[in-house]
Amino acid sequence: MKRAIIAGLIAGFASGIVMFIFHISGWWDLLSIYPLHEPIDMHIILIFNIIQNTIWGVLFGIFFAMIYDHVPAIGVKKGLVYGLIIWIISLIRIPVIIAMHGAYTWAIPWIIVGFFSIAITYGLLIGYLYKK
Amino acid sequence: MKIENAKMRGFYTGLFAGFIGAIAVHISLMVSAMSGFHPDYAALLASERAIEFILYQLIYELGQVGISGAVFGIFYSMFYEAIPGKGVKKSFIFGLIILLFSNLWWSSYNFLLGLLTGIEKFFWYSILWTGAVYFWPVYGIFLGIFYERWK
Repeated sequence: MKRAIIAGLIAGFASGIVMFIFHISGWWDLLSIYPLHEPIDMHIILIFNIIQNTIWGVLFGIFFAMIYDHVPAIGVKKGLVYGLIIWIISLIRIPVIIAMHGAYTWAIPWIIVGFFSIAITYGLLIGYLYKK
Repeated sequence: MKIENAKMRGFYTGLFAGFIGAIAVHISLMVSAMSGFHPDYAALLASERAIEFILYQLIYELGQVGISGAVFGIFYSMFYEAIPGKGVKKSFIFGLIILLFSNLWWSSYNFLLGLLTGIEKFFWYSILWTGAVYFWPVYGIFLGIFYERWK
């Protein structure tokens, strides 16, 4: 379990950095004003992305250790599949609901950023770092 | 009724459990609107378009919770052995995991943003997403009932 926590912590931290890179790239602002029309200082976004993703990275890591044998594929691919599942549950459902209420310019960037930070970065790293 | 394929069983049981979860969402939403928790919805309920609003909202809830429920039902069938507990208890725990992963992720996101920025509305959004506490456990219970029966 300790290994899963450490792997989740590192993968979560890295996914937070990726999320922040999307913020500072300006690409996000091209589609929407983050978040829900509230201008927020970049330092706060950096701290926020890292804290949020690291804490949740640890939690997701613990669950990964619990369901490890049941996740299809092997090695790093196992982590990628897990990352995709997390992305579907956490970062597709709620943005889709928000999009249905009309704020799709807010929701679409979240789905895309979530894909790169959670499904790809977190998934790859947890798959690489954690092995039973 | 028996469904041999586990993933298909997860899909169908998740879909039906999602429909029941959607009704739970709908009832609680109407009750919270009538008790003044959602001023916009309360205004719609008091207007001439009340019936239209109730029906459209129900169709919307059935659609969105039903589809998510079906997808999550497939995940339930995939990780069935790994989830602790037996029967309905197992699916109830799965419902709580879904609540944690989907809604509480966004609650913590808004809560943290509220703490860092001091903007009050983020705390409000945080409470709003936590509100799903009344339908994912319901979804979980019915998922287990259907899943075990259709085995």
